[in-house]
Amino acid sequence: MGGDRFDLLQGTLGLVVLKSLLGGELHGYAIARWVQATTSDVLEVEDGSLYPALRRLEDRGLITAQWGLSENNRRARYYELTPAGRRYLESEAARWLAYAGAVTQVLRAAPSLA
Amino acid sequence: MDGKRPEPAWRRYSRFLRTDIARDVDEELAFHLEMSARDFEARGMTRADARRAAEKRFGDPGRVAGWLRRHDHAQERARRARETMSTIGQNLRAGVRGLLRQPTFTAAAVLTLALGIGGTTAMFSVVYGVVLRPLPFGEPERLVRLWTAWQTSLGRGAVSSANAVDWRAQNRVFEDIALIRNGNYSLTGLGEPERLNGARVWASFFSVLRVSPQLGRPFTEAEEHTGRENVVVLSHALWVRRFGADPSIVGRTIRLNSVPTTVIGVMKPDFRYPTKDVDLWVPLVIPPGELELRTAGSYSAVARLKPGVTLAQAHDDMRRVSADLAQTYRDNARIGVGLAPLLDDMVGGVRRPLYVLLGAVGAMLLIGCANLTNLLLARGVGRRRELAVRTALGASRSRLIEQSISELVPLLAFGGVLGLLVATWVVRALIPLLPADLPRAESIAISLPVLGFTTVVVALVAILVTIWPAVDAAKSSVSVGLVELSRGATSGPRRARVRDALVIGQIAVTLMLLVGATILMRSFVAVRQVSPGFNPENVLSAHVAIPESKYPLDADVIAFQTRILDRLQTLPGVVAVGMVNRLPLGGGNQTGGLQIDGTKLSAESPTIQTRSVSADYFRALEIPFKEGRSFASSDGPGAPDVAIIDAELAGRLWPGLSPIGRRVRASDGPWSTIIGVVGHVRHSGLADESDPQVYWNYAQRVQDRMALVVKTRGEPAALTQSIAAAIRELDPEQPIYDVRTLAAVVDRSLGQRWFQMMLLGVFATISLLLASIGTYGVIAFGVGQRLREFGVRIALGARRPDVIGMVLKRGGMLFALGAAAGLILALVTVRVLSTLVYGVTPRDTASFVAATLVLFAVSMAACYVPARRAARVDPSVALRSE
Repeated sequence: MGGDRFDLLQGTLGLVVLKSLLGGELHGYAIARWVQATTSDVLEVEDGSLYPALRRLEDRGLITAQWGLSENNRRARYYELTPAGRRYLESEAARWLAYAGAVTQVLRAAPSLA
Repeated sequence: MDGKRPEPAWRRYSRFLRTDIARDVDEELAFHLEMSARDFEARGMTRADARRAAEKRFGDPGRVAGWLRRHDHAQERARRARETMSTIGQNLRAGVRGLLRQPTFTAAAVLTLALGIGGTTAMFSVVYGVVLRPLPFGEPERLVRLWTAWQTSLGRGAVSSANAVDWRAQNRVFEDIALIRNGNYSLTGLGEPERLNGARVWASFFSVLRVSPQLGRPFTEAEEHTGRENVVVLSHALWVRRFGADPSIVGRTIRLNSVPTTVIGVMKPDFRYPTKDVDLWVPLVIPPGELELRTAGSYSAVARLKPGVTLAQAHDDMRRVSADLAQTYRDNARIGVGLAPLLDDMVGGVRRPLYVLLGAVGAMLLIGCANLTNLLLARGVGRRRELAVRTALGASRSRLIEQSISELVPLLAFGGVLGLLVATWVVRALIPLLPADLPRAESIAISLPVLGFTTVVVALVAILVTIWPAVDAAKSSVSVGLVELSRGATSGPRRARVRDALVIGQIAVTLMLLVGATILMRSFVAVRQVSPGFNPENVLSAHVAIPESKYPLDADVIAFQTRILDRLQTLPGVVAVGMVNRLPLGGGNQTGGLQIDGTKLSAESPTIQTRSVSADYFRALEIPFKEGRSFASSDGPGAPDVAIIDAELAGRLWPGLSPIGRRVRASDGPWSTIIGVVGHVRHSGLADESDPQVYWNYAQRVQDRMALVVKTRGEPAALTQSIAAAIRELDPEQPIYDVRTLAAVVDRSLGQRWFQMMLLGVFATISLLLASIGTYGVIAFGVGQRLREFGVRIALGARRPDVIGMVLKRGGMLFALGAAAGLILALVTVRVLSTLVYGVTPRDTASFVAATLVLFAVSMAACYVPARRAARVDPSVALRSE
């Protein structure tokens, strides 16, 4: 794609991962591709950094994990949101958006940047 | 997105067998990389390129895998720990519930534990505080006590100032030496005059002991001289008690012995040397002229060994020093230096009795443990059906053991905690009962080392008590249990033998303790019956210390003392008033060698005790005159020196002759003419023969510290107020102290013996109680098991006395075996009492017999109740029960 790529801020990776699971169970690889696709490759995320984030979310009880069989009969670990995770996602997303919206507003106000 | 299909069942169950964390992590990451590579391949890359691209897109698979493995392992460990804790918690709760369902058993077990652990802890806290705990000084193991060792048979003596100065200068093994002398001080100007215990010490006292004041500073050597010595360091207790812990006390002036003295420091709270009730320290000024007399002065000395110097080296060096001094000075001819570690010197005498008592309480604890084991075994039998059923339902051996342990743990915990409470209470109650001369009694407390000891004891008890019952519970195999279910449970023969053995052991150890206690009791009675040589009934004693500052001349002191005597004589209720500088059996000694006119002072010269007394002293104490007369007012200060000797000395020196008119003198005094002979008095202790005595007239040999002895018509204590008032009348600034009836003084001298006897008696009695409970338990249980048998016998014609006889016979057998073992045990162990007894030998037949009889009576009484129950069995009821 080219263009700028940003490193993901601390703590927001978890939020992104939670959002990815909103649609249902996914394994780690699927989450990685979803993030890549959804941000149009703007966010630079090493695939490997997902897994510690997934473990931390698991420790906090926001997601659960279970082994299953993928389409091609390979054994893979699937992750799923818990109700607590869903609630957390909703509230944190609202906060993030409010914060980002406020900053955007400031940056777009007069005098505008060249 | 990939749809997920559930794993096949076999895959799920196989994971219960083993969770391989590393393998799972690798598998998850391998899946990711495989999928990633596959995507790249689909875009046209070669397999190898696709693989590389996948790994590049991933980041560092190795590092991530490591992180994940560590994380998952930690989680697994935490989970397992939580599980274990939860299981333990469950087990304990189940155990407590089980205990509460059997309140009698639990109460008996907890009480036994509390008694045993509490008693042992209390006794150990005494042993630790007195004997084991290091002295509260810096590096206390290098401190030694020094004394004068006379090569005649005089033994130990106080240190003279001249020798101390030379020892200090000439030795090569000590960092420094400190000289100490106790003294009396009157604190006045602050309300009621109070007599205080003071110690006069060299400035080196503080450096030798490595102690520093909490406030202010210690003395300097400059203050050891007349004119500079009016400074004082207070003890912490005195500072709090009399001065309200005033933080500005340093620099304040107080009146000691009517002399204004500046307070320059206050010591820390736990510093109490040389005596436990010392109130203050002042600089020691050696009186002018004392240094010229080699043997003048009566001090005690402590020293600190240089680092690396051994006791043996110190001995050798001091031998060299005293040999040198003997060469230089004639008076040092037969004088050596004795030294010993300070702690040994203080507590050596009480080590043996305290260890004996500790052993006794340990024996008592063992007896308690035996009871506990028996209780647990009996309970185990009662639950065999329950255990058999559980085993049949699949409980493993280890699970059964786990369960029985989880009942014992709360039991031991309750028992241990209760035991500690008992110990704390006992120690507090015991402190006022301790003998007054028990050294370091103030160090007795439930401290950390004592708690450590208790923990060890509880652990040992746990092991002792749980081994058999726990193994026993696990051994009840299913088949045996089921078979016995149908027949009606009876106890296995092997288990019964173990219980019997425990009871026999209890009886044996109890007999040993009873014998010991009886011997000490007989010994105590024997000592009390010894006549001290005087009559302590209806005599009140009160001490008076006359300050030199107010009564500087001998004549002043004598005059004051005479005024006191005269005044007290006029009080109503007073029969006679006397005075002596040290009370008999009061703990003080004044020894010396006696020289007879016409002979030289030699190694064969008798060792005597000397006292300064007033004329009526003998009348007040009813010490009989064998010959001659007492002092008269004509035997005053200017008149020829007179002395009264005791019958023992007279008999030794002039057997069959009259000593009246002959002349004697003690070490460095004037020649005195003997004017009377009195009965011998046991000065040092009722159990000691005591050296013979020589009495001087107080008017000729002045003492500034005297004890008044007032013979009263009625209760001596009733006169305390009037005596105090009379003396206050004569001098309002003169305090009196240590007011006691002479009977109390005599009792106090027996304090150690009484204490040992009482403690051993308490341990023996508790053991007797425990053993009788144990006997009762075993016999009652046996009767319970054999109820049907008794029923059958009665049905077949046996009469009540026959049945009772059978039960008692069994009890008698247990007793006989136990007593036999106990007698052997006692014969072996009473040797340790040899230093503690008086008037009886340790192998005292009467004590052995008496103890055995007492034990027999109690054992038979314990058997009688179950015996009666056996005899009252209704045969028809017994035959019917299954």
